[in-house]
Amino acid sequence: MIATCGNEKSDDVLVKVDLSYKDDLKIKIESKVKKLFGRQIEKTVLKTLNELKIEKALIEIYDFGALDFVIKARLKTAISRAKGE
Amino acid sequence: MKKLRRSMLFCPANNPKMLINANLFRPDCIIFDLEDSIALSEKDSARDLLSEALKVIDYGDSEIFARINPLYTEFAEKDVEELVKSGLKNIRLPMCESKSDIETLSDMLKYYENKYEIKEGSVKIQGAIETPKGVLNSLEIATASKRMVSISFGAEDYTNSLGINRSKNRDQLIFARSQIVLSANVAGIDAIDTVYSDLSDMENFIRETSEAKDLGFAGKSCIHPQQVKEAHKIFTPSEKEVEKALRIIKEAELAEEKGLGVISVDGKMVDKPVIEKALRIVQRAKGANMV
Repeated sequence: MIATCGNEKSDDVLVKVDLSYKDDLKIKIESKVKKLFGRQIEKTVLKTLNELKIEKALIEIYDFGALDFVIKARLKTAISRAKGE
Repeated sequence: MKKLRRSMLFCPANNPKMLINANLFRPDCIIFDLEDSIALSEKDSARDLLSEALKVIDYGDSEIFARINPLYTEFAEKDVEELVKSGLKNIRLPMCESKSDIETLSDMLKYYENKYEIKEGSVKIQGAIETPKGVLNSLEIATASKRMVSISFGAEDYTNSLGINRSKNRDQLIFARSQIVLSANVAGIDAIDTVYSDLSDMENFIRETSEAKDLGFAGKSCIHPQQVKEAHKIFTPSEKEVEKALRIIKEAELAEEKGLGVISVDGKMVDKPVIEKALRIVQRAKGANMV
């Protein structure tokens, strides 16, 4: 139920997903550019979770300057891994 | 106008920076790799990353291919489904050994094209020939499907299968390279030469690539932008060649109007094969935006 995907490298993002977290949907974002892009990162995460029909989970995002498509892809893989697919 | 495939630049599909910058050096083709350069534990993440990249990145004039995992692996079908869904138009199939490999992939493509309402037959195939069996069956591979756009040679696996070393003079590759060029020619598709992996030896890369051009290959697989630049120089006709080819075509047209047969340009006989060669040079020049 817990999985990660991505790298702590420039232009990438490390995503941690805990699907056993059943209380709510909690998103934690760490990024050097959080002030500028925090809302955009959160928007991408929420949109991806919505597409994947995930309503409850703990999502941790450690961003290293990733573009939206990278965040989406890494989150998708981490969720798939957490589901054991 | 026929697309040029002078360079096919390999790019690992799990590296965001490389996915973003892949067409910076304007290769004719980019091959995003899901096979050898990706660790088994990251096959899923590379596939997801490439699928998302294909949906949003504009690679301009570069033709995009993905090298999927071999059909005998558990990853191949998932690669095909995700990439077709993302709009990929060209798949490089590694380790092709017979026409049944192409037929299997073609059936898989047909199924997913229909499932995702994509025009049937729109995804094309490049067959990578990397074993002695593949070389001997290269004609049936090249002609196995209307989806085929090219066949390529992989010298590392080929020499490995034979239990021999790949030398710098390439003597042991001459039969395989020639056979692949002939098979592609009969099928009316492109032949793409193997990668040259010693990045420190540009001199021998240039020699190997010039030889590939002389054998009849349409382009070279590359692993570094510097190789792309050299491959383009080699596979692009020179201005002198283009100027001469245009003159031959013009003279031939005039001769036809006058009802003349064989003509002479620069003191040399010009007949049908020479005219056809001139037309091919002009076609390549057009592809390279020279005329």
